[in-house]
Amino acid sequence: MNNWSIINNVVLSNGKVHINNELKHSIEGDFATVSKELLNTYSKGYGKFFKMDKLSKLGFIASEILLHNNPIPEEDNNEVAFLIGNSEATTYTDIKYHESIANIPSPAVFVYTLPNILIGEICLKNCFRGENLFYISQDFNIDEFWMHITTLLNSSSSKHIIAGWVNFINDEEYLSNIYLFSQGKNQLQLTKENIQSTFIVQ
Amino acid sequence: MEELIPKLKQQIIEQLNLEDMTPDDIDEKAPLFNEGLGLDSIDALELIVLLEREYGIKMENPQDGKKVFYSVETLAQFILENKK
Amino acid sequence: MQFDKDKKVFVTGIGIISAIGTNAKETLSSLEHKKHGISQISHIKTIHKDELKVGEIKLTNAEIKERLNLQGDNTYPRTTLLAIHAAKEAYEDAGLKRNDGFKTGVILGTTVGGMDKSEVVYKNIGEDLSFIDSHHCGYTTERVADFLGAHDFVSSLSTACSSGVNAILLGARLIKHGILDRAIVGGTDALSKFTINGFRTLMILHTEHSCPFDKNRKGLNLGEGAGIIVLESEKSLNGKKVYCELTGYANNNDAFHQTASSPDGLGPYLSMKNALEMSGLKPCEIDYINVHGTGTDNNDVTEGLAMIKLFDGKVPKFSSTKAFTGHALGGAGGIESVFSILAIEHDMIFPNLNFKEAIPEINLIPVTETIKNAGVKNVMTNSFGFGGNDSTLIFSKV
Repeated sequence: MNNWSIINNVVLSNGKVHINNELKHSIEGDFATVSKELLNTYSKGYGKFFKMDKLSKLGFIASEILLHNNPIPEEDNNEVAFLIGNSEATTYTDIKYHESIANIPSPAVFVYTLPNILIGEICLKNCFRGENLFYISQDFNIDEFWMHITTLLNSSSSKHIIAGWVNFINDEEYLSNIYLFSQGKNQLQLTKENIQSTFIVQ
Repeated sequence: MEELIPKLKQQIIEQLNLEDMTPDDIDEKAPLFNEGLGLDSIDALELIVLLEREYGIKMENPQDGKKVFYSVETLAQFILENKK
Repeated sequence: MQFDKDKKVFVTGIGIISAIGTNAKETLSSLEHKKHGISQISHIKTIHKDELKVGEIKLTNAEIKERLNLQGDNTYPRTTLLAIHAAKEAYEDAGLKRNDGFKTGVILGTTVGGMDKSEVVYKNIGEDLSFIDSHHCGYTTERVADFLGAHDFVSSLSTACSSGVNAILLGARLIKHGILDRAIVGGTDALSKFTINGFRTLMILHTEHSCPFDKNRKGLNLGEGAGIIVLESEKSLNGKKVYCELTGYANNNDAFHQTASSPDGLGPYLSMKNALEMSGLKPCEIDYINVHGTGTDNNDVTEGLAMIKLFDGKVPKFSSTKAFTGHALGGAGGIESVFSILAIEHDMIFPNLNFKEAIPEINLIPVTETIKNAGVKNVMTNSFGFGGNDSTLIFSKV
């Protein structure tokens, strides 16, 4: 574990983007406006973005920012693992889908009623084929998060891990706080304390 | 047909969330799937929803969609022939 | 916390409830005698009732509650009731006792959570708000943990149809890390209007009985149920009966599409390959594969191609058991893990129902009649989910 580093941290919440605790963007407007502006900055022309539900958009755009200056070498693609948690699963989209059943239910909405689809979207964009784990927990709990990380670090062949908390409640309340961890030494060692000191809680 | 095509393009953009496109970007003769607009199987299912909601046409077998959804033009033709 | 990759993980208890039985004994008998559980839907009010076949458990929620001696005033959703039913069987089967000093945790996978209840109550919001607590995917795991008094680690996964298998994978890891001595793990999902409509709009539901791996397959039947197993380290075994060992597991992303597998099944290939590598077994040592085999056009052909590639054309005996139970989504991985364990325990390979003709692209023929004394030592089981989430487990005779 002492051979792992925290490479980058991106927090996207309520129009503000922090990269490694530094405020980089502050955008006025609802989530659609914010996410569209960030897409234009970091991933212009990726049309699939507009098909995603809001949870996937939130996680996807944060991952584009996370990887922007830290691209993963292509030969490592099969060893990029994911560990993402949240408290809401896909409730926002579930309700949207549930309401559509009364008329003509939408297959495209139904697909996004699974929270791990957001990991799938990031994998699809980047051709990442490592392990995926999505867990649901009442609150972000550093001990639980750390436990998941340690088990992943030790027992899989992963060379990089994208991990964090991606929670979409509504257009005003959302948080994506994700990290890139990679094997190798860097300024910031991967430890529970180093995560705790950078983690912004919603 | 001439009226239907631009309307259909707008409906496709809305139904499939092609937010970065305008009706002018879509060539009504070009393939919608794969190399054309790059639509996929979920989009095909959404087009089935669009047909039912906007034109009252029910398509029970997704395989039927292959010909019908080839281009905006073939779709418009199908609507004109089957509209209730 | 000391990670020991060589630490063994054993299966000591199994519990199952599905359309073909409410415990392991009934389930085995149905599998052996080709008694499927596919029928018309009776518990859910839906306009699609007459055009659908499902793998439904015929017990009502009230009947399940009665079997579990649960207090009358609770309002557990069906997903939770099914999980408690299977967890109780597995817990008792393993001879576990509360507070015996061993660290015991519960990890379950589910996709619908309390949806079956929420969707009924939601319309009349204001009358009964209890569904708000029971809706989220973590609720079921917490109730199972409470019921069994096992709180050393409680976590809920939601990775689509591979949720159940991923819960087993995570439980095994926690044991190898010494975080837990034992883990009660598996998956659960009840039928709901939500998923019936969802899969119907995806147009992958067969209106008749499904026929996995057949040339003329037309989609899946949805099912429901829970499959839960007890994993233990050597430390807490104390000479008790062991079903088998979990020797391999892996999870990979297919990175192709939200719902469809890549044309050559790269994700499924990787998860099978990585699980096999972990087990240290040679491909020819796999005696049986309980495949994902949903009976959709896309799954069966890509899973078949991945098997052909991994086994270099010499694909072991395999069957999809989904024509028995329907596809129980988050429950499927747990249910089919129990089937795999039963295959080792009773040295039997279960048939793939409704198969007539091989899919031309792969030309693979599944096992269609029960094989007894089949020499089953190592069983592989696959679970693949939307979002490209592909998982494989390998169970081995001890």
